[in-house]
Amino acid sequence: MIRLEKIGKSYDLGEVEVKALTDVTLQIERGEYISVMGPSGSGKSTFMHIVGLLDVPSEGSYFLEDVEITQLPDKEQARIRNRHFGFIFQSFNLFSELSAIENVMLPMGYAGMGRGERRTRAAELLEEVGLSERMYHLPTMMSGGEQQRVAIARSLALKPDLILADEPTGNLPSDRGEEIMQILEGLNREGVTIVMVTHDDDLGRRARRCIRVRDGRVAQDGEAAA
Amino acid sequence: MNYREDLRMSVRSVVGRPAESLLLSLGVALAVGATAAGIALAGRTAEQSNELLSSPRYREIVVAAREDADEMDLPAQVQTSTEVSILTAADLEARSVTQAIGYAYLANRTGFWFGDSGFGQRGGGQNQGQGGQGQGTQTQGPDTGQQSQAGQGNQAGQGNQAAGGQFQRGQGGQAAQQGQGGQFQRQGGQAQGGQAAQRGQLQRQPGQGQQAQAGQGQQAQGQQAQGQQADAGTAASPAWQPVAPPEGPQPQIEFVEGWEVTPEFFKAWGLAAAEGDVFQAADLDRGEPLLVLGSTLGATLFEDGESVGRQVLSRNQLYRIIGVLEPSGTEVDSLAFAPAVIAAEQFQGFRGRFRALRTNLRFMVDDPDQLEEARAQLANWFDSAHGVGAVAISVPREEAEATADRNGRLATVILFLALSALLIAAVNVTNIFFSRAVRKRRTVGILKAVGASIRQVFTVFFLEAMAIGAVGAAVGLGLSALLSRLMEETIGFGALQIGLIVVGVLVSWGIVAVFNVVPASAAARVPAAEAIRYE
Repeated sequence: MIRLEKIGKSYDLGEVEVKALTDVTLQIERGEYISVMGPSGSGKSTFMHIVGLLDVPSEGSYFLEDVEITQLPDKEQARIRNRHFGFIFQSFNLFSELSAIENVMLPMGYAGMGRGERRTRAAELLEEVGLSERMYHLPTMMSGGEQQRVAIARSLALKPDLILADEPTGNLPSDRGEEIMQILEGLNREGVTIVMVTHDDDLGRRARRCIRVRDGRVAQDGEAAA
Repeated sequence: MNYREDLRMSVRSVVGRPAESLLLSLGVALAVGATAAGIALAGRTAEQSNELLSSPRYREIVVAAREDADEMDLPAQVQTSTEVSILTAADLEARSVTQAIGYAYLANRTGFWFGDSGFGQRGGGQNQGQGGQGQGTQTQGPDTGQQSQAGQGNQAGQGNQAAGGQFQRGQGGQAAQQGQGGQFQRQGGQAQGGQAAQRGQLQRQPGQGQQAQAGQGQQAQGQQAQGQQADAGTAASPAWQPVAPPEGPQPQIEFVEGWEVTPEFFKAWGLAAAEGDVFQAADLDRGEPLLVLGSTLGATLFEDGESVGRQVLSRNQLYRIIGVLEPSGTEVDSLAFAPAVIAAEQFQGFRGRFRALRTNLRFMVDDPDQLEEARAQLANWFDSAHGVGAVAISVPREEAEATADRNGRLATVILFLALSALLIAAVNVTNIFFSRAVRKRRTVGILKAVGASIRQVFTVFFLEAMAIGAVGAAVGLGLSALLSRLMEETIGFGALQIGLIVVGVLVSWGIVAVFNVVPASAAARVPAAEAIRYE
C-alpha cells in the first residue's frame, strides 16, 4: 500500500542542519500491524508524520498505491489524510470547543457528507467505542480514556486504510491503555492497517512487525517477537 | 459545503474568551459605527448636494428692487416695505439680453390661510406689531359665518369705529373660542394686545415660525397701526364685504406656504399638472383667484383627497383650485401657487398688473455655467433701465454651492477621522488574532490531520475573526444610526437613510475582514507537523 524510498528529512536550523531521518526505505502492506520503536529524538515521530502526510520529506519518494504523493498540492494531500488516514495522538488532540459527537463529525464534513449522515455515523462510532452515553459532552468533561476513545472514533470516521497512532496509551493509566489497545487490535483484525509509535517494549511486542528507529535510520525491521 | 462544526468551533472559541472577545467587539463596534456613520454622511452629503444643486431654483437669477433685497426670502406677509417696487412686468424683457436665459417670470413667496378671510393676509404693510403672549391653544374648525356673527354680537359694544370699520373685531375668549368668527371682523382701534394675540394663535398652528408670529403681530398691533390699515383697507375696497366660505368640504389644513407666480414659472421648473391644469397668461389677465397645488398638498388639503375644482376661502377671496401638480419629490409638493396678479391687487390695492408690492423677477438659465455671464448682462440692463444700484441681483446657486462645499469638507474630515479609528481598530484586531493563531497552533495541526486543507483551516480562523467583527458590526450599526442622525441633524439634513448606513457598516466590516485575512492565512500555513508538536 505504502512504499517509502530513501526518505530523508532534515531541518534547517539556521547554521546547523539537523537530520531527523536518513535513507528510510520500506513498505507497508494493507492489514499490517506495525510498531515503530526507538528512544525519544530518534526520529520515530518524524517518520510517522511523513507517513501521515503531516510533514514533507526533504528527499526520497513516497508512493501511496504506486502514486508519488509528496508533490501533490495541499488540497489533494488534505483529501488523502481525510479519506485514507486516521490519527491518534498521545494527548488525544480533540477540539475542546466541540462535543464528542461534533469532534467525530468534523472530518466527515471535510469529506462533504451531509449533516444527518455525519451525525448518524458519528453516533454509531461512539457507540462502538462505548461512549453512547457521553456523546454531547465536551472533551474537558471526559476522562483521558474516554477522550482517547473519542479520538479513535474520530479517526475511524471515514473508514481509513491506515491508522497512525502516536503513543496512544502514553497519557493513560494502564487499564485504560489496555482498553485502547484492545480496540486498536480489534480494528486490525477487521483489516485496518495500524502503525503505532511507542517506546514501550511490551506494547511494541504486541505488533506483528516492529520497526526500530535509531538516529534517524531504520535500525531493525522485522517480526516483533524477534 | 457543510462545515457547521467549523462555524461552531469558531463561535465557541469566541465565546470561550469573553473578555478578549468583548474588547475586540467593542473596538470593532466603535470603529465600524463611526466609519459607517461617516460613510453614510459623506454619501448623503454628496447626494444632497447634487439633489440640491439640480433644483431649478439654482439656475435662477433673482432681481429685486434694492430695498426689497434683504427680505427677498421672507414670505410676503412679514415684509414691511410699503413702497411700490420700481420693478414691473416690463422688466421681464431683460431676458433678451442673453440667449442663456430660457425663462423669465415673477415668483414671490407667500402663504395662504384657508378658511380665513381676515386681515391676517390683507394687512401686508402692518406687520410691525409684535403680539402678546396669548395662550389660547384650542384648535378650531372653520366655523360658520352665523356663529361668528353671534360672537360678535356679544362684543358689539367693544367693536371699534375705526375708519372704514364696517366690521367689528371679536374680543375676548368667547369670541375667540367661537373660532373663525373672528375672521370676519375688522380689526379695530380697540383691539387689545392679549386678546388679539390669542386670536392670532388660535388661527395658526403652533410652530409655523414666521407666519405664526406674523399673524400674532398683525392682530396685536397697537392703535397707530390700525389707522394705516384702515386707510389701506378703505382705499382697496371701499365697500369691503366678508366673503362667506364656500359650500361643501372645508380644507383640513389651515396654512400653506406658496408662491405667487406667473405662468412661465411652471415651464421653467418643469412642473406639469397631474390633474386639472396650471394657469395661463389669460388667467392672469382675468385676475381670477386661482390656485395650483403641489401633489402632496393636493392630496391632503381636503379629507377626501380631492381638490381640483373646489374653492377655498383665503384673503377674503374664493380661490378656485384648477390643478394639482405631478409629484416632484421636492418641497414643491407641499406648496400652493397663485397667479402673481392676485398678489398685486391684494397687497397694493390697485389694479396695476404685476405691480406687486414686492416683486422678485426671476430669470432662469438653461445651464448653471451660464449664470455668471447672464447675471453680468442682466446687471447692465437693469443699471441702464433703473439706474445703477437700483436693483439687487442675486444668484442663489452661489450660496448653495458654498454650503454644499462646506458640507462636503466637513463630511470628508469626519470620514477621515472615522477611517483612522477603523484602521486602529482593525490593526488591533489583527494583532490579537495573530497571537490567538499562535496559541491555537495545535488546533491547526489537528485540523490538518483530520483532513482540512490550508483553505479550510483559513476558513476556521477567518470565521472566528468575522464572528467578532459581526458582533462589532451589529453594535456598530446601532451606534452609527445614532451618530449619523446627530451628524446629519448638525449639517441640517432631513430623514436618516438607513440604506447608506448599512452600506457603511458593510464596507467597514469588510475593511476589518480584509485585515483578518493576514493572521488567518498565517495560521493556516503553519506546517501540520510543526503545529502538532506545538504544546
